[in-house]
Amino acid sequence: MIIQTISLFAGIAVIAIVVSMIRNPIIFKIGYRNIHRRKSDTFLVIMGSLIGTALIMGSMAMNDSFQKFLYSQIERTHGEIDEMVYIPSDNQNVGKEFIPNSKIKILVDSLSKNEQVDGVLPILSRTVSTGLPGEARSQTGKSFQVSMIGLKADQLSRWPDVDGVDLVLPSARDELPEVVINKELAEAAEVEVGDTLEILADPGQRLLFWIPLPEVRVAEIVEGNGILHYQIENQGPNAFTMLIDIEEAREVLKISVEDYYNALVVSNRGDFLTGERLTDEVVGSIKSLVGEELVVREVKKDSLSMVDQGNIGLLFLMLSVFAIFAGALLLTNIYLMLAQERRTELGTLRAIGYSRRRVSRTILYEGFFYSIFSSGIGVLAGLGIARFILGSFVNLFEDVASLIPFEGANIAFNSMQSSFVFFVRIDSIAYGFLLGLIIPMIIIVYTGRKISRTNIVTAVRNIPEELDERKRLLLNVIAAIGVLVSVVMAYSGYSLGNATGFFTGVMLAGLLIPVAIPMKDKRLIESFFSIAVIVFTMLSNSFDLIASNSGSSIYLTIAKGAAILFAGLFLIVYNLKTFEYLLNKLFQKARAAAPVFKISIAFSARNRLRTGLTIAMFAVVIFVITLISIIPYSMEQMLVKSRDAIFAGFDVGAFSFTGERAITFTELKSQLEVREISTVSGLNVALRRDDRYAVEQIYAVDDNFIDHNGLTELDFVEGLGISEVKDLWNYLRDNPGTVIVSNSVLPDVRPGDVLELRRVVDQGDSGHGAAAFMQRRLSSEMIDSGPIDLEVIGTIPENTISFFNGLLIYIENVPSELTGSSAERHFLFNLSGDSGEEKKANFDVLQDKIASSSLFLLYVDDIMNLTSTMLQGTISILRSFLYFGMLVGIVGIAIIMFKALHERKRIIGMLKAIGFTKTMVFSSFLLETSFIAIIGILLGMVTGTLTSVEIYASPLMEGMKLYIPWDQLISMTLIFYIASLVSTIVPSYSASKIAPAEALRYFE
Amino acid sequence: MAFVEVRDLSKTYRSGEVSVEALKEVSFDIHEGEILAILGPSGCGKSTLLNCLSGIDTPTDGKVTVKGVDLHSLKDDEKTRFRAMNMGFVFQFYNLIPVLKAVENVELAMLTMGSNEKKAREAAMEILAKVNLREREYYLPSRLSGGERQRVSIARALVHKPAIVWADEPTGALDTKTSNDLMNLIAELNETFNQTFVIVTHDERVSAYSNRVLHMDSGRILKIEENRELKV
Repeated sequence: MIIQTISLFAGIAVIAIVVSMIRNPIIFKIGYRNIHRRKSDTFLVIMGSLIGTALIMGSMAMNDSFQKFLYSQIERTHGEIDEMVYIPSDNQNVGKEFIPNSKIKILVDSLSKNEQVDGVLPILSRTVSTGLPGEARSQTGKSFQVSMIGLKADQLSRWPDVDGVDLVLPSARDELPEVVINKELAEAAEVEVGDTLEILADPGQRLLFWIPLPEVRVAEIVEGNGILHYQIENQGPNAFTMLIDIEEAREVLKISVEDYYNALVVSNRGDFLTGERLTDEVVGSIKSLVGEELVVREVKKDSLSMVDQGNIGLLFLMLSVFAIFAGALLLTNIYLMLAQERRTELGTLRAIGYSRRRVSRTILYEGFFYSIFSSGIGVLAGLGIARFILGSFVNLFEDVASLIPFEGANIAFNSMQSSFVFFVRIDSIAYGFLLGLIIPMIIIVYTGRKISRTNIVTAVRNIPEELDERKRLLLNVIAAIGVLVSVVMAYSGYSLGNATGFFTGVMLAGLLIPVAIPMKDKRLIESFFSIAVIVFTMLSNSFDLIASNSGSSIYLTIAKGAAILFAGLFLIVYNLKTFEYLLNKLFQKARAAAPVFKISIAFSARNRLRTGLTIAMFAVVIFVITLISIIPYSMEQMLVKSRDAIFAGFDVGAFSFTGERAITFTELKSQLEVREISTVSGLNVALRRDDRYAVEQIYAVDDNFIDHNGLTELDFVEGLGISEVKDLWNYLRDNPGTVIVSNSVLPDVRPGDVLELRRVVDQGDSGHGAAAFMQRRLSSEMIDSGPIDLEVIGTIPENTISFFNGLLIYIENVPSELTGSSAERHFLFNLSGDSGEEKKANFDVLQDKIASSSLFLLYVDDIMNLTSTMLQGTISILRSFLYFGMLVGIVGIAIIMFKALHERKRIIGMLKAIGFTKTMVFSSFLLETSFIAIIGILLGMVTGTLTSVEIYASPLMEGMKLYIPWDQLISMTLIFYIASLVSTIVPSYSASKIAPAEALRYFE
Repeated sequence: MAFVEVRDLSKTYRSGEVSVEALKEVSFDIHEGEILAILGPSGCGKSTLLNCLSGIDTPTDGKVTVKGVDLHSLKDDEKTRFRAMNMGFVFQFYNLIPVLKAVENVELAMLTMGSNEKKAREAAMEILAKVNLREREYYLPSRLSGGERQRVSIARALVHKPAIVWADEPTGALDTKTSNDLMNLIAELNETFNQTFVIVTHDERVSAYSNRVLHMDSGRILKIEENRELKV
């Protein structure tokens, strides 16, 4: 909405300017011809202006592509299904209760007549296991989890997803039941029309192999969306769907209850996307029919809102905000210089009778031409950037897919990748173009207005205009009002408990106070307040209000980053003269080079506004890149450091997600590739926290685990006579009633605490699969046995990344009161081999050997590679996006030096006349660039690092360690610095080549 | 041998098909310690002559010898160094560096020669005192009047005690009183330091301060006359 409003405003502004040009042909002519005066300058101004547009357009195009991709996924999985009506069941194996037939009839009759609905379909949905005859019970990848949908053929034929699909509808017959399956299932199970599939409806019968299973015949294989690719309840990587007549379904599933259906899906009028707009009305209609008895799930709306929340374009837009801001600084600099260049002629126009408004229009029209060109080219560049970034994502998908050890996930990744294509909406291009125009136009209007207010005499004679007392006082007054507003903001924030408001108020007051003080030389005051703002930000977590929001509020984090960046910038700008003094002192012995240093540093140090804007431009971009480098690097380093914790120091973790496996501990141990094998049995226990119980995993570890585990970074109780961690593990073995706890799951537990545990009543599914890992609340009837107290003798730090986050106890010491619920048994072992390559080779051999054992192996280095590739890949994509922002600095400094070349032409002539050689002139330009670039880069790096330190100091990040990628930062800095120098070689060389006689005659 | 010998100096500017003869076989000598005024109407080639004499422009033909050195046979960097050591410049529009204070502008000429910072500062302060800018040493050019700026420019031209000072319309941007004050100052400095001054001007009053006046028109020397009635 904001984008549309701003774009509309920009569109109106464009029309107004064009009309104004037609009405002012002379001013139009001046503005237009000014563009041709210096082609190199025009080129660079357009380059500088287009970067903002390019980043905006790039973000929008990426958003469009991601949105299209996600919408295509929704279309595939939901199709025309907008709402689902059902009765939730407590029985997790069933999921949904049967809906009374009478209710179904009422709903179908009524909704069929509803004009907002174009499809109603009662279904019986169940997840079943299927495979070729004899394979449905298989645990070795030959059976598949399928959504079986029982329905009536005539109702299906009216369902919108079936429109245009050549489908032979299944019907009830006397022979083998017929089913329609989707293409994915057909390919995975390698079946064709006419083949037979076996159905295992009840997982409990998996081991009862003597009970025959029902079979179905494939009547049709279809490709389609929604009901033909049903994935609403099955969120697995693949959507295997099987449609069957309702009567046949009841038979196959052995359903004997009177009611037929357990869900009703509804399609709103319109296509898969537009139908969602009618959700509220349709849900209202359904509720008026069935009241609160049935649940209406807004499946499409929920999914679409998830897509909108996960706005990837917004992420890139947020990243590019800093570069866009830097671009705005560059534009301000460009147009201030442009206005300065045109000052004499504009003063002359004023002198011969042009009004201020008309004079400001010459700059406005000239800027408008630049902006139109730059916005147009920026849109194209943005599309190029988006394409490049999306290409990088596709490559990342490929890399990740090749590393994923799950076969299904690999297929899913590949299918995702194929539907991930570059896409941009026409209206996005229009918005990108108009948004790209708006920033330069605002700056142009400001500079045009500023130059039109210049004193005619000083303008005509080209005498620098000093800030007069009146303007200075006005600035003090405005700043004083700003201070008052900031104080009110800080007070309100504090009173209302709004940390961001409080912090922003204090920070703004700190930055504005020196501006409000009506003194001329106030460098000390300015420096004091800048440092105070930085110190306040770094120590802000001492305030409870701020500490409680640190890390969790993105706005507070941004405010803190901005505070450090701007306070640092102000500190530098206020002290440019100090820098100049120090550098002159440093280089005064440099004899021949001394005047070069003196001039180059003086030009930057005594031009506070221009230098400040240029430094800010560099600093802002480097600041974000530093943040983007440090934080993920720290995460990656933590992962690397956790290598020995992931499987407690063992090379391989062996799991069975089904809870059953066809290989024993002894068989695994006897393999040549396996060394030091240990078992870890995990079982659910109820842990008392305050007045309630929660499920936790307790891991019973064996002697091999105690002797060979690599968990060495533990905190432990003093006074146990333990001097090193190895002894702690032995202590755990020797002392029943003791436990070691991972702070990742129980962050508040400290060594010496006592935990109260109880047994959890086996719920049938506990101890099976991934669900057992999830913590959930427990009701009193789910808890059994009396309380068991265990003393915590050691804790594993919170930042340790491990598969075994929970309570660790020696297997022989597990209290009998806690046993009874089914336990999962995992194996941890080291691989034979000395080098990483040997171990990996042995891992592959072992994996092939036990392929049919239903045991899932994970090699720690594979996990590290996968995670590292994902992390590095994503970060390098984000960083490469930001590198485009770096162009702002590089192009910016080139523009500034080109402008300086023209501004100082006569001075260069004089310098050459009094003895400056070509090399000295060339060096003075490069030194000036270096001075600005180095300060800007260092400022960005230091403030970025300080902000990272501050982020990591927040209570939310407790236990997280900060790692700074010095090599990355230094190489990035050098590249940026060298690129900046290279970009100014042309103006520097041109300056050195200026003939003094020509330069001294120079008047534009 | 004369201090500066100028022989058959010609300069032709070319712009596309059009060529303009700014100097036509000009020959004359400049004596050590004199003030020589080059007088003529606008466009007669006086500034071109000054630029060719000082080595900041290259003649099309002819020879300029300064202190026995054939100026235009030197390479660009050698010529630049020769200028730094032996010449000072005063321009019509002062050409002060706006971001440097008066004293810093003046000491720049010393630093360019490789002098150390302390010596350069002392010399700059001394010469600024001589040009009556004792209270203005730490002012930026923007805070000085036109006459003061030109005095800073003269101080910069003299600070490193060059053998010869070239001045291109030094009073061109000044009012009559300030012009007179400035020419008095130049005459005084010439007498004190025995430095040679070559002043290009179209102002007849300036010539009153010169030992000799060289009259030019259309790129040629019309006459060189001795000034028998020096104003100072």
